[in-house]
Amino acid sequence: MNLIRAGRRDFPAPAGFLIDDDRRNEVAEYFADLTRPYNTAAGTELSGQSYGEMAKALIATVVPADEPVDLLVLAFSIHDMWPGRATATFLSHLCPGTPLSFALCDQGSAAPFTALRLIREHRPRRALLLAVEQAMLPYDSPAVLPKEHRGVALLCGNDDSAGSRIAGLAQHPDVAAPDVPALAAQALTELSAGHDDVRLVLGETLADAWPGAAEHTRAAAGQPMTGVWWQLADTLAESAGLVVIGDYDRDLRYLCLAAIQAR
Amino acid sequence: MTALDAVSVYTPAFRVPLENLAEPLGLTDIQVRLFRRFHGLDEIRFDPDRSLADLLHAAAAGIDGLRGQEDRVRYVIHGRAMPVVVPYPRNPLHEVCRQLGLAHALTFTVTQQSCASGLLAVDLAGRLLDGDGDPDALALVFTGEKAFTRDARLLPGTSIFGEGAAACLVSTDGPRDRLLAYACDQQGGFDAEFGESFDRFQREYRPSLAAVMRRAVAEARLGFDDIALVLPHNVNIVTWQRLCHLIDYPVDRVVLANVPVNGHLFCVDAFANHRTALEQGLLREGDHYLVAAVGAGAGATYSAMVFRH
Repeated sequence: MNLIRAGRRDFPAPAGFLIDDDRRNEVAEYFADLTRPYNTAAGTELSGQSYGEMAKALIATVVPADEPVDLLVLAFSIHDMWPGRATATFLSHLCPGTPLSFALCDQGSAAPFTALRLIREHRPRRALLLAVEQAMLPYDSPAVLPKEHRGVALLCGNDDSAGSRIAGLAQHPDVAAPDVPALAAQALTELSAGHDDVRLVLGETLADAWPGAAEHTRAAAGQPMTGVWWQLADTLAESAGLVVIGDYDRDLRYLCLAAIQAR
Repeated sequence: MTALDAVSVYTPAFRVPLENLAEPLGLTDIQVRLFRRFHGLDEIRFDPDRSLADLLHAAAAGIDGLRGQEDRVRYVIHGRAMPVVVPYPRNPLHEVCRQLGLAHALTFTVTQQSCASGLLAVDLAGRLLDGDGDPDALALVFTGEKAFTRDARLLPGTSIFGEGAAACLVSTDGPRDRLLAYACDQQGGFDAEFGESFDRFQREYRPSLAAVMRRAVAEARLGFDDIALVLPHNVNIVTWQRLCHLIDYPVDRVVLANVPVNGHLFCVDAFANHRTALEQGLLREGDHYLVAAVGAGAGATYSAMVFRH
């Protein structure tokens, strides 16, 4: 499976869907019901983004009409502000190829790595991975919010002549922070075997948990879901060679790495 | 080949008569009578004392083959209808995995196919296990959720959701229920972004489900005559009567016994009906059966799986 094309966007402007009063009321009722059993007060302010709108823009960026997609995976950690919507099903209608579509969540920053793995197992002609995060929760939460609303789209395909080969994936569940350096070093060694020139991109949390890591590019701070994938597009474009990206989810204890062979 | 090694279903004992739901769901007397007489609903199951994590844990506790085999479980997947069910960053799925000794498993939720997400989870579990190539590895698929908000309690004019959960052990070479085919068709054009489409959805519902069922049967290289039993989604009885007429299939071979006593249990229906089929001796060794699910709401997903028992 190759990474054919990557696209990325931030979304600084207010989302359009909350302009509609009926939609606002519907969303407010949902969040009130969601938080009530937890004695968490739902706030009165509704802003933030819908992943439907963000993904729609990303699809337009990376999927031309003559490159139909067979599979679409929407990966997120923090939920969006249109919580009851079957967004992936909506995206199936918009994306060329009307792909089989679903969302993958509840796995923190490991979700895009798992999505890549599922894409590989499906063996589609083309697949689209969308990693998204928005920076608003309408209730009190201990979560640290992302700095910006951001999304990354990765168009993958089985045509070996196009794009950068996804050479390997490593996922380790239930990793305590003190065990990260040794396990990450081992995974990096295995993924980069036979390669002299390896560029390493680390998510903020992994970079902090792995102080002795080899020379690396640190992904943007405050973007736990999209950080490494945002940086990946730049790094692949710089020069040929193996790029290894990695991230660590401290709360859910997932350590994930992926190797991509840039051409 | 993906196989269901064990299926466990938790349905709460507490049931609420349809009439008692009229006020909280804003149903008129006529709507209640329609649900009862026309759609065949009677009581809906709820478990006000159990959280989502409790529901999932209760389902997993019913799998005899899980205890002592935890180290074989590589993946835990929750196939969930509602995309957002707890305030972020709460994570009941991982909470349950820790309680069950499954913290070592790669655990995640698949959603946004509404009530068809459960069948998707089974398919993905099989693909992941197949990719690993370890015949001893297992995946645990969860379905089930709380009916916590109006969208999660009522399908207007169609069905009423209840609470429950199922857990299913999946392997690549189990001897019991082997997956022969999986078909899925999504119609995102029913999303609210494209305007009101309720009437069109009602018109296209049964033909679309029939088409995906036919596709699954054909991909299994079978005909409907070879399908001993259909395990439906428990949306209502009249839908299945009409669908059977459409595909010329005997309605008495569709397991509808749970519609009046459960309500529509999100992605759990297929597994609850599987349990009923076994309890009532409706499946014999070698029988082929079809499982159907529809994710309806914002957009539509029609899914069908064919198994050999």
